[in-house]
Amino acid sequence: MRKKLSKATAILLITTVAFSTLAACSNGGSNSGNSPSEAGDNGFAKGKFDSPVTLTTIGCINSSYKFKEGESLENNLHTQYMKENLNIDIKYKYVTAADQCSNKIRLDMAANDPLPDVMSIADPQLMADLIDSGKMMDISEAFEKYASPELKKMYSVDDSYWAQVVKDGKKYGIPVLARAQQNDPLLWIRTDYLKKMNMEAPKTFDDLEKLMDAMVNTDLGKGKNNPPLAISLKGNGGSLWDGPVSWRGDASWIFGGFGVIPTYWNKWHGDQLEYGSIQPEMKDALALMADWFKKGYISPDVGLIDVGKSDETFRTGQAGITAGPVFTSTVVRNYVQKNDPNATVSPFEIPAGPSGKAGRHFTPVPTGALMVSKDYKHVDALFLYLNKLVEIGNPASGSEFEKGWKEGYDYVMKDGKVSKLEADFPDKIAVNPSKYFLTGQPLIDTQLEFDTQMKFYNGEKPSTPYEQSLYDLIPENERQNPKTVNDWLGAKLVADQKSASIANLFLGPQTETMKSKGEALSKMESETFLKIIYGKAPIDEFDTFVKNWKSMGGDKITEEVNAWYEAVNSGK
Amino acid sequence: MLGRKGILYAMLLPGILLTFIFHYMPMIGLVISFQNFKPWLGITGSEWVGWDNFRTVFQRDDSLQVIWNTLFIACAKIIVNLVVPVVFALLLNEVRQARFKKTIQTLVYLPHFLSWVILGGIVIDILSSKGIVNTVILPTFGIDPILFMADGNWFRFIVIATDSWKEFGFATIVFLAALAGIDPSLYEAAEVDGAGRWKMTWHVTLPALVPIVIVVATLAMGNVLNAGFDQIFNLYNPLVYEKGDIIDTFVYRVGLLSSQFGLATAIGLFKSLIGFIMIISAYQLASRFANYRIF
Repeated sequence: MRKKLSKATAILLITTVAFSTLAACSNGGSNSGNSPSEAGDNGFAKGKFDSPVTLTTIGCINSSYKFKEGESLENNLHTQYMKENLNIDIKYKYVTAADQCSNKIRLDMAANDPLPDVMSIADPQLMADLIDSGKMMDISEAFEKYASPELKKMYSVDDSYWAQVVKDGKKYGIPVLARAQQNDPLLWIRTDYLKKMNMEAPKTFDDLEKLMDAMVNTDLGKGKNNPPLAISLKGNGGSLWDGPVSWRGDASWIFGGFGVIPTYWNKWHGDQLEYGSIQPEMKDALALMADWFKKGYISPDVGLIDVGKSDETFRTGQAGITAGPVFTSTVVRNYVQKNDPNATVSPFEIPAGPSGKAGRHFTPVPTGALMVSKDYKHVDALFLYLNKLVEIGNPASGSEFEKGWKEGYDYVMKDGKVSKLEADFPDKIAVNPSKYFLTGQPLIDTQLEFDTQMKFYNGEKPSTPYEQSLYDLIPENERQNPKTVNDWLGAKLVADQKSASIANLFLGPQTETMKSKGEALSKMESETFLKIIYGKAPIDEFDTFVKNWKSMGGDKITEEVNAWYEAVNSGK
Repeated sequence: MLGRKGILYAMLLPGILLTFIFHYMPMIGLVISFQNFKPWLGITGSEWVGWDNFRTVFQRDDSLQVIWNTLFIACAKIIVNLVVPVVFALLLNEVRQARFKKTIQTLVYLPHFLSWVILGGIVIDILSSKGIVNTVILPTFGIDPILFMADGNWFRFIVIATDSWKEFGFATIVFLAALAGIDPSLYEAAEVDGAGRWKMTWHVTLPALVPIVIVVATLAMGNVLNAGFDQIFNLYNPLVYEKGDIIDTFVYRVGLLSSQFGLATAIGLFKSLIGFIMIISAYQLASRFANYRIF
């Protein structure tokens, strides 16, 4: 009996343990509420709180996040700095892979778990859901009250910065801004190939065709170019196909030459927003691409390779032309010239198409937003933090951030000078602490980087720590002639051709019909376009597509998009 | 108090409870397939829409196409993944040298552990216009380059072939285990009766394998609408939607990426239902014709 009893007890124990573990798991999330310090702590005015203020958030990281030994997103020089200097405790509810983040937040919402105080949200759908849920704070008032003049100025450049977070005149978040025109493409051409063939950079599509034809038919020392133009049409695999518009290996400019950008909403004809992919100009553009495909100017794999793979053909020199943003310069420096030390590459303006003008996609400046929970008692702490980030982003001379964050992290000293080139680091790895920010990037004026690079192009020397840090990114031997530094020349060309950039005027979340029908329409679009380009369908298939697009819900979507546009722009 | 049996039953309790919590409780969530589900409103607060989600799915022009693709690819995979491992296990069973046998067994088993994220990239690379197949192998036979991944029929073939290559080693182990369990005296008796190797395979080995083949086949029937999301998702592109888009990739794009959870659940429910019916009928057939019972 004794023995039996103890057996029963053991079983009971195991069961209990199993259950308490389960219970603990489900409770774990709810303990992380914020502990507001006593009211009346006017730490904001003093620049530092007397008693610690907690700011809970979540971390979404990817492979580009690097950490020093012993550091993590939860504990690193950034969190320590904010604790010491502002007395703000940044606590992470969890840190997870970036592609898991949206789902995790949705699960939290479904479980009615308290949301973290501040979240950085990039997924427009999730952003819209969060706004709809009524759990987010309208930050308009706090922004007016607490944002520093510099921060306000940054956000006053363009009203469209706020478009994604505004609903019924209320601002449900602080947009995270990329640099202006960050991804607007230029044509990058191997100038050593041009020289060998005795040709000029193309001014029009006709020139470009001649150039590509020459590249296909001339032996350039390492064989013929195959294919000469590196682009990708696969898209990012989202629910709506965005193949023609991508940040590298972009193809939007081919359509832009006809005056339209596929998948973009704009006032193409008249004063209503219309969908770019169904405009009549598309037909000619697709016919041209089919022709290029047939002639071997673009890769036979163009529909199935992603931007990385299309980039590769340019890196290895198989392709002599690609379309990419200003920072393609680093690809040239780190890959093209490593593969072939004699390679020279320059950016050029996008050539003019049959419409007589050049056109390319414009990069939306907001890339997401910081959203604040309605229950957060210390929104002043967030602004104190953001104001500090502004200071760090463009530090004054003599500031502790003059050289960067910390030696060995984002810079090293080489021969008594600051260097930010990875090659100069002892372990060849630079750690960029601005990745750890709540914003995931430095908080600087959207135009600043651009303007600074233009200054350098015009031969000016850096005068502020920020300018110096940009300047240091260029190897010394390249800086000799500022007119040939690809980064600076690229900035100038993008600015010169600013009028060619065509914006997507619809920045809102997916509309109701987009949610239910959008994917079907987009699937049809990607199938039709790629089949036409691959020569598997006649060009007239485009007309059928337009008709079906309209009747299968496209007309309804157009209405909804215009309603959104009016609502956003009437608030002004 | 508790008798000996009682204690044994009590030991079952945690297992039953876990199954209940993790397999039966979540079924409550199936309700959302009839709702316009919003996470922050929860199951109780979301709007009830009846059969709307099902209607949205089945009224699409391409829904039949997608279901057909799924059935085609899944059935082909089930058949190939049954035939190839059985044949391979039989062949391997004839190998007398134990070391060689083990090496081969391990080698063919290895791909099972690779993820489709990696394999997908490799397959696309190998079969691309610049890949080894199109630049080296086909030209030596004088065949023009083929754009494998841009052609629907080739795509299906590649999906089935690569899946079989990746998974047959795993299934082979199951059949090898069954082969090892065959009573050697049967072979001895066959030999005495004058049977050769071929006759032995046909009259002893194969009949002994039938039960396990039926078990594997019956269980596989539950997957008749699972054509392998991670594989196809990593391989497909708009050019092969017509022949390669399956229910799961479709749900991913329509349901998850646009956060239409009700719709995604509705398709999940549909799939489970079909899977359930297939398993039940396969089991019935198995017990009727092969007189074999799993449960």
